[in-house]
Amino acid sequence: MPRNRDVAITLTATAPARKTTAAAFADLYRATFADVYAYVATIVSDRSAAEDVTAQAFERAYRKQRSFDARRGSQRAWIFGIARNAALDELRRRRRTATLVAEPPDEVLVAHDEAAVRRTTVRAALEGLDARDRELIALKFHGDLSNAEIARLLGMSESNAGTRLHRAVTKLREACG
Amino acid sequence: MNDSDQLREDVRATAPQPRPHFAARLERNVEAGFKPAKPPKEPRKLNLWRPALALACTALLAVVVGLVAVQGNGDDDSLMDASSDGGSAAVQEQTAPPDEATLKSRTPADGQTFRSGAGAPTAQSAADPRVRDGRRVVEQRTALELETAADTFTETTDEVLQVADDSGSIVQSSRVSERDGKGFARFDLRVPAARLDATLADLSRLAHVTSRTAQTEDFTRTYVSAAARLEDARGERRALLKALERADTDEEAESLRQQIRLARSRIAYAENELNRLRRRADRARVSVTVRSTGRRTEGGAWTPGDAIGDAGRILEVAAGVIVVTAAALLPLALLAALAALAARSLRRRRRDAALDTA
Repeated sequence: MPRNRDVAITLTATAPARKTTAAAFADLYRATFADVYAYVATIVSDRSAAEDVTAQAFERAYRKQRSFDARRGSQRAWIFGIARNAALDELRRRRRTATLVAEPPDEVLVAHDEAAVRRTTVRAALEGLDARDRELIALKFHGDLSNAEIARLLGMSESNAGTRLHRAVTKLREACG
Repeated sequence: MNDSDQLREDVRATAPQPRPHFAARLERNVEAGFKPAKPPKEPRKLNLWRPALALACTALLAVVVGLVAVQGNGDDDSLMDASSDGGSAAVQEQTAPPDEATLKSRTPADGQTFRSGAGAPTAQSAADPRVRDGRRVVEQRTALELETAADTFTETTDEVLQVADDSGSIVQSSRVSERDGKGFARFDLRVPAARLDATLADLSRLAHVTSRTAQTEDFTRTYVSAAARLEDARGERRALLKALERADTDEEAESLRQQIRLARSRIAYAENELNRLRRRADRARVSVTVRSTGRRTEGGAWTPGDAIGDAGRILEVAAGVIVVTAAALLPLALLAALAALAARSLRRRRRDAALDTA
């Protein structure tokens, strides 16, 4: 599934406040699916659970299309909020920590590929962060959300979100060496 | 590419990727609109009974409120004092307006009841037709309640006085009050007994008769006794006068004169008593009560003005109900809002706590 943040941004910018048609939702889905999955998988740390939660999040969003209010944020932020609630509900239900995560990318197998080595280091560094910092990194880099959208999603001020995000990125850099 | 961009790209490159079959299945679900999760709604049928039921309920509510508003204007209390000071009494009560036949039937048919004209002369006990002919001597009391529209109340009370004047009646007392479109008047009349029926008929024509109560008190025995005492006193005086004519000594004459004075006093007393009883028989007591309904009617028709007034009252009642309901529900709504906020905050904290355990 190719990522297409540009499509998502365009959709957010030009879509009417209430797009209720299935076609519009399909556009939103295609623009955000991969990122939402990546974010959910980062939180729940379990592939099967991530798939269930992602499917559940999009279905919830589909059923609640009429509740979307463009004045409260973009459609992208809206669907990440739904995904976050679904993922946290799943965590509460399971009350256990699952083992990872994503399939090892192909580049890991190429030992002498500099980029692959760097990304393996980044993956290890991410796993070393605590869950809250990992979520911030995922919202920023996978979700491509602004600090304001992250703040609204997490229920904190924008400055606080920016500070915590800066600290998380700093930790990640330090962990990467 | 600076360090930040490089880090961003590296993080994105490490993003967990969905498995192709999962992505394909979800894609199909999205395109299908997640329909299997919820059966499609059946097309709505055109239900006419709901608006019909709502209309019927509204009409029923309007009728109930209208009836309550109309009936709220009325009150009734009996004005007739049914007490009796002795003798036999016959009581009749009518709650419906009497017709002419009923009015005529109220006239004693047997001719035994005596009702003389006004101003009976005194000192005629010997030739008193009541005693001589053996007729019954009665006092009649009648209470008449009339109901008028608000705009004809004053006119009706004026006409009551006019009827009283025309019939030679005496207005013993009267009281008229009117406030907020509701009027109340009470007249206590002394109607010549001979003209009682005609006067009642005239009064009954003035407005709608809601109640009529008649009471008759027979005091024939009392009257005959009073007449006999008067006759005895007069006979005694005549005998004393004759004895005085034949008195031989001054002492005897003086004694007779003293007895004549006492007899004269007894005659005066007996005459007063008899006259009082005559007045009771000669003048019937009629109590007339006039009430206004508070509504203005023009020939009994329900006019657009009445409709507007009724609609206004209905709106007043409806507004009152809304205000009372809102006053009762407002605290509950505030409590519910606070509870919802607290629940939302608690849910958010629990979710965030779940992240810490991940």
